[in-house]
Parts: sequence; structure tokens; C-alpha cells
Amino acid sequence: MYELKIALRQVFSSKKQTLFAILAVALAVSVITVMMAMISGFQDEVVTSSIENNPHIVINPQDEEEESIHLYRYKSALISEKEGVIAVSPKYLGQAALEYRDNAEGVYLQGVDPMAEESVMRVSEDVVEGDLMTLVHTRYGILLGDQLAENLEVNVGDRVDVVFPGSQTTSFKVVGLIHTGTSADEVTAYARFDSVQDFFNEPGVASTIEVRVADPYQADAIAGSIERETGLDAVSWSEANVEIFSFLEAQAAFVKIFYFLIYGVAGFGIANTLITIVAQRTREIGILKAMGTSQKSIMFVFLFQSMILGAAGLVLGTILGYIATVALQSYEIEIPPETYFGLQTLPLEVEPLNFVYAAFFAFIVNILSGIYPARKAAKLDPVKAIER
Amino acid sequence: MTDESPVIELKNLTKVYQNGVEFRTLDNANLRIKKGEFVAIVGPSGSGKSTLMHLIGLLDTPSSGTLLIDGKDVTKMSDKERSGMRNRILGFVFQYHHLLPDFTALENVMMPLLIAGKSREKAKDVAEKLLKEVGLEGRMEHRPGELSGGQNQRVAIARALSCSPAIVLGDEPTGNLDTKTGDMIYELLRRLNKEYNQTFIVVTHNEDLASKADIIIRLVDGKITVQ
Repeated sequence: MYELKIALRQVFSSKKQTLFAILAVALAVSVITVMMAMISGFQDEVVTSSIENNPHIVINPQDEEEESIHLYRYKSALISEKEGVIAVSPKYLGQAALEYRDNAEGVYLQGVDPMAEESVMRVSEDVVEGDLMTLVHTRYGILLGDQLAENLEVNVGDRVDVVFPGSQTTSFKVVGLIHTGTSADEVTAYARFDSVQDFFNEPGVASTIEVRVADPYQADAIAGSIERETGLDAVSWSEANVEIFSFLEAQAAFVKIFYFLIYGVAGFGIANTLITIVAQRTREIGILKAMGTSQKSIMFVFLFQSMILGAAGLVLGTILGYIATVALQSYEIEIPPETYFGLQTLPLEVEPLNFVYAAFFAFIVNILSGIYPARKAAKLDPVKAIER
Repeated sequence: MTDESPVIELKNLTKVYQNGVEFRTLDNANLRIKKGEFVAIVGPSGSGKSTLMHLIGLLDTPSSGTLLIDGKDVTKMSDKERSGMRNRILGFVFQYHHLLPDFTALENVMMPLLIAGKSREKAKDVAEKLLKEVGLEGRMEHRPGELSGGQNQRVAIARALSCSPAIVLGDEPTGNLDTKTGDMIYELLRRLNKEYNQTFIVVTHNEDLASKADIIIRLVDGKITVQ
């Protein structure tokens, strides 16, 4: 393999050129790995928060005209028997107004069984004051979104009036505050299932049944099977968030264009370096040909050079990219709240496979950029090359 | 010392350059060179000396005519075959040494052997022997930049001989050296020629040197006369 020996010797004898070519590749690879970490961190975060903040499956009455689910106890029991289902929470949902002194706010009132709701939605994680379980023994207790409480100027322990046309105005005691970090905090209120049913004069029906499953990625399949068995309409979290996921897909496509451009720039850098090396080494190429080096071997000499530059660049680039990602991770860059689905810091995910991808494509780009200069070198006329 | 079958044979060899106007640098050249001969090619500049060298050295292709080297028609060969011939049968010494600047004298002499696919050990043995032969045993690990013009030219000669070629081509091998060094290099070539019975073809301006050759080929306007 004298081709490799010549390639190595030539690459390392022009140190400045080599250094800059390696840096160009390294920079491209590190920028791309950091971007990949941001994108996959962001996607993970969105998926995780979709799974955590939404029920995995929401079951609604089948008919558009039918507003509520009858026999919800039986149906809930049926659903909770299904494989993969770990919790079921029937709810009564309704809109009403909350009044406290001179303040009034519209709310989205959720009537829940505290135990069931906790197992499906893990509400307690968002409770910042008081306790969801207080509802178990407080018939007219209510938990409010913290923003809602602030707007009404109520505190835990105060009593608020729930008002709805055709319903008897009922007084509820504020037993807790909830903070999810989303706009839901302005309108959400939790109360007991039976109290809300009574308030809306709808005893014995639920407006929805929410389900938690063991494996969120099985939610689609389980939702389908629930539909078949109960005749109700079941929507999985991924179906409910289809807009977010198509947004993520569009974003991923745009980012791929960026990767392509970055690699393109790095590729031209390598090609340019090699063209310069070929120009500087023209006479040596002629001599090598006179000594009996074939065109193929000359090509290999320069392809090896581009591979050496590329390999060094991608090793350096993945190291730099890793360091940059970890550094950005620990710095916890804050992003404006409510920009993206309640994310508070820029999520970065160190995904080893991303580094493999970035390095692999960098290597391919290097070989491709080496082909033109290498062919040019191989095709040089030895007579002209030597006499130059 | 010489046997009768020609090692190089030119039949109506012609090289035409189309550069706006047609220019015949070599015009219907016919020539037979036998094994072991020391041939000097002389002639004014532009007479086609270098073209003849490049054609025989398989660095250039003729426009028409036939060139036989070692009895084989080389004009119809592929790049791979021609490279192989350059490597095994031909050795070049240029006016400037044209050594690879990033390699030591020893590595430069080893290079044709490595190109031929010989092992490093074998290549090193041969190269060391040849460098001793040209009187450079103490300079093997030096790079061309650290050697004098005459020393570099001797390394180039050792390199040209490394694959024991049947034919050694010199394009003004002493042209860039002072007279004393030039004479020394010329004597070295002549000695090696006698020692190894290889065919030497040397282009030169120097009539004194040419007169010491077995055969003198004069080129005028692309036409050959043999003395």
C-alpha cells in the first residue's frame, strides 16, 4: 500500500492546509451534531410532554348528537379489563363561571374521581398548593389553575361560587392550586365527579372516559380495540396531537436541508484543499507516473488524502460536538415560556446514533469531494506534469 | 556484449502537435537500438529530442507509426500495461533530479520497487545496495532538500536503476550540474551501463559527452540521422 504511504506523507507535509481542511470538516460535524441534539431533544420533550400532559386515550360518545356516555361505570370496567390499560377515569366536563367577590372568570370545570384521575393523569405532580386527595372527603371542594386563582384573587381556603344558567349556583371551597406551565392554568378547575354531575343536573352520565396505558406507543392499537368493543369514539394521544407531530416532521425536513448545505460547504472545503494539493504536487504526480504508478493508484493517493482529512475532521468534530452539546445542556439555556408547548429550557439530547450518522455522512461527503481532484490528478499528462 | 535482437524498434514513428498549425516534432523516425548500447541523442533545441525520449519512455503516445519495446507493440497498450512497463522495463533520470521532496533518499530509491509490489525489506535491500553503488552510503536518510545537486542526481540514478530496467532514459541528466560533477555523473552512467549491460539512452547538448557514446543519434527538425 505505497499509495497510502504517499498520501500520509503528503498530507502531513503541508500542515496549514491540512489543519484548515480538518477544521472545516470538524466544524461542520460539530455544528450538525449540536443541531441534531437540539432537534431530538426537542422532539423527545414534545413527545414526553404530550404523553405526560394528555391522557393516552380519550373516549367520547360516538354520536355527535349524543353529548354524554351512559352506563359509564360498566364501560369503564370493561375498558379497565383490557390488556395494556392501567387506569381509567370517567369525567364530567362542563363550562361554567366562577365568581369570587367582584371577580368572575369562565372555567372549564372537570368533574373527576380523584383516585382515578390521579392514576390516569398524575395530577398531583402539578399541584403546587393543597392536595387533590382532599376532594375524596370534601364534597364541595375545588382545585384551580394558579393563574385562574390569581385572576380571581382567591387563595386556598376561600369559597368561590360556580354559576351556570339553569343550574343552582353552588359554593365550592378552594382546596388546592395547580400549575402546569401552560395556558390551561387560566381556565382549569377540578372538582368531584358527583358534585359536577349534580351541578349540571346530569347524574349517572360521563362526558368522557380517559385512559392510561402501559406503553404509550400501543395507544393507537388499544384505542382501536376499545372502539370496536364499546362502540364509543376513542382517540389516542398521537391522533389528538397530529398537528404537533406533522409540525415536527416539517421541521425535521427543513433541518435536513440545513445539514445538506453545511455538508456541502465542508465538502467544497475539502475539494478545494485537494485541488490545491494536486496543483502543488503536479510535478511529483508526473514523476510517480514515470516510475510506473498507474492512473488508478494516483487516484487512490488523493482519495486517501481526502479520507485522512475527513477522518481526522470527523473525529475532532464529534468530540467538539459532544463537548458543545454537554456544555449547552448544563448551561440550561432558557427559552421564552409558552413559545413551545410549555418548554422552559432548551432540551438537548445526547443521542449516540446521531454522532454515528453525522460522522458517516461527513465521511461520504469527503470521499465524494475527493473524487474530482483525484481524477484530475490521475488524468494529468505526465510529460506536461514533469516539465512544469 | 550486445546481442542482435533490438530492445527498442521505431517504425515510421511520427508525433504531430496540432496547435493551430500542424507541427511535426518527430517525422517518420526509424531506429533500432540493441541491448547494452549506450546511445546519445543530440540536436538543437526543438529538434524533437525530448519528444523521442517521451515516446520511448511511454510518457507520450505517437500520432502514427509503431514502437516496439522488448518486442512488444506499446502503442496500443492500456494505461495499466504502460504503467507496468514504465515500472519494470524503464528507468528515468531527468535534468532536475525530480525526487519526491517528502521522502528520504532511501525511500525515493525504494519507491519504484514498492510500486512494483515488492516487500519493504526487499526494496530496502536493493535500495541500500544501489545507493552504495552511487557512493551515497552516508546520505540514505537525508531528504532531497538536504543534499547537493550532484548527490540528488546520483539518488535519481539509483532510483532509475532500482527495478533493474532493460532501458535507462536520461533527459539531459547532467544539464543542470557543473562540468566536473556532470562528468562524474556521466562516468557513473557509463560504468553502470557496462556493469549491468542495460541499454542507456541519453539526451544531451554536450558534444564531448556524446562522443563517448556507442551510438550518436542526431535529430534535426524531427528527422533522425544515426552515426
